Amino acid sequence: MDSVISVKNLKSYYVSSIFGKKITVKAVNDVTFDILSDEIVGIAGESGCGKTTLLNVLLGIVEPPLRVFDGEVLYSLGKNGDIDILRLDEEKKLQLRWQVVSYIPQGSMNILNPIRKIKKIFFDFAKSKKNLNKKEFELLLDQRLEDLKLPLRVKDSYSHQLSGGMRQRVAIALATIFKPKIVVADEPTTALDVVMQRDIIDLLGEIHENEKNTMVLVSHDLSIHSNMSDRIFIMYAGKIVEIGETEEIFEEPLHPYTKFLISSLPRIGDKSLKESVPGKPPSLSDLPEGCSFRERCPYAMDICEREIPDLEWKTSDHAVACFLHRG
Amino acid sequence: MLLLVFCIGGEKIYNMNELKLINVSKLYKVGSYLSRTYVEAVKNINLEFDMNTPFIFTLAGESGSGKSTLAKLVLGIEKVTSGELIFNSKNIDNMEKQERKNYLKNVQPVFQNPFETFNPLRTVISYLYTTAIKCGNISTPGKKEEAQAIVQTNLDRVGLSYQEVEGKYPHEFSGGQLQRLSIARALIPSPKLLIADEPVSMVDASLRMSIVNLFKDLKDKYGVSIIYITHDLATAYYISDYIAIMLRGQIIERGDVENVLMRPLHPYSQLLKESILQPVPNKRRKGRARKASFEVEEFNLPGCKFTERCSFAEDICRRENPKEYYVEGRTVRCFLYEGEESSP
Repeated sequence: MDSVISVKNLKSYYVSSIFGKKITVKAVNDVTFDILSDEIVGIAGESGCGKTTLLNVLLGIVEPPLRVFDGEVLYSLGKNGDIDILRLDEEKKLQLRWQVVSYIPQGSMNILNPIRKIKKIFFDFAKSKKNLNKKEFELLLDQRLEDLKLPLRVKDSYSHQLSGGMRQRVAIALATIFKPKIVVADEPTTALDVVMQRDIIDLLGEIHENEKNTMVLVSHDLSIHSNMSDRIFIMYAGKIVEIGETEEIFEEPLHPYTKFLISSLPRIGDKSLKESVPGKPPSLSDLPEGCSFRERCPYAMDICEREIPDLEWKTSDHAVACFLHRG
Repeated sequence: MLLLVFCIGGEKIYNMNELKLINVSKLYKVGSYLSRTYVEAVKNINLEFDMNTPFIFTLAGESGSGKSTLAKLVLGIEKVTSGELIFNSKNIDNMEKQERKNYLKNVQPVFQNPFETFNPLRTVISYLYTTAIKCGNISTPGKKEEAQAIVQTNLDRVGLSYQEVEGKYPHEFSGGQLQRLSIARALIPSPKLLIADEPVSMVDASLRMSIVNLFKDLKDKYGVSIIYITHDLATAYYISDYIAIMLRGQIIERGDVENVLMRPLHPYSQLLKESILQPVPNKRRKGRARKASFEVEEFNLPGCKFTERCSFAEDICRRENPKEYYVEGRTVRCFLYEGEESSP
């Protein structure tokens, strides 16, 4: 399979100064990976590990205090060859967005304007992107609502009349109305209850199956990834520490951090003691020397204090950044 | 006369630390004067809690099922529309000021979002001090050393040290730590019952189990009972002893957690259990997305509120609200089990 997005040595930091003291938050710290066409990639990690920043850079949304220091993000979109999104001018970026690359941000169920009907919100949005007359647009909208199993009455509702799950569906419908090739979703199911979570996961799965697009799904909840993603990237303190296929990550996690994450998941029918990862994540503005997980790691060795482990490929589709698995 | 003395004496012995909800209902008004409708957020709830033997009781259900409203009623934040809330054989609405204060000390909340619980401009420890001075058992009010001792013991209980917390503001803590602090604050008045409303849903997945384990510890080591409100049945199964599943204001299935979650009987409980995203990749199930439905309409159904989504629905479900049937060690509110009752 060909890669759709390839990221090379990406370094993106927040730089600010408080009372003359310069503070550098290393949110994305030397990250390299490929996202293949027609796959669902899940990015998992704790809050504050740089997941959302990574997504923003992937989409080319780089605004101060965020700055890209090194690396590139290449889109391979077939006919035009590779596009480096970080060196593209604003106008061309806007052309790509929503029609080729689409973004469902965190808390997107709260994006709907409370004093406009859903139909109007869609119309405003579509008009700004494409030249459509009212009839064409209505047809497009009805089709999309039908696809996403939303009752057509939603069009004439205001956002407060809809439940959280419905608003999330409307937001997904809005983001994918032009059937983009790449869909990026940031925590699409947090703040929803289990029934709605399942619905949204099924819905995204259906969109993926019908439209054959590439999805990047960010969530701190591994059980969502187990039901959705083809591959999982585990992120810790601004770095990707493990990449693998979902089955492999769950059955044979290599990195100690991944092992903790997997073993702490509660299951119905299992009352044995589940432990969380001990300690707390390091501050991204003041990373310790060496491996950033070593303070919480039960297997920490001398070398972990001195050197930072690189992401190494163990098999053709399983990579890990840990000295335990070196050589 | 003798009988009267016996009654009073008897009640004092047997009803200590007992919380009873009798036919508790809460109505909310929706809309303006002309188009006013009512939503029955909580409807005829009967529950009994005996805090002498510590327990963890889970209230589960999707959003809009009335679980948080029920918590607010018990905490005295909202007033019941009809029915009675009885603590130590006294209705909490008729309590005098001192008695009510005593009740509120015994029933303490832990809220959902730890980031919003604390004022960002105040140090976290100042909350603990205020609570200790106002509600802790201090001999002379305002005595700082005693307050500090209370704060220290309670920080110990949640696994934090005084030095870690002293002089820090909320933004300097992680979500898990803040939730621990929130629990420490709730423990200061030495309550019998903690009401935790979705305490882990805003906490990061990697730290979630440490908070859940803490609740287990509080029950086992310090004898605090907990009402755990959640939609996450996996953690509910992990910690709780009893469970009640709510749907649109009513409890539709209630019993031992082992019974109810291993073999749910009500179609809605079954839906909830199926919806859990099991962390097992090879069991991955490509589901079909269901059609979305409007929430308010379900509240106003005359019969069972689950009719629109239930695959077993019959005519009687649309007309009548089912009674509670006692089947296989739990009560179920569903016509499917009519005539299958066993004696409790």
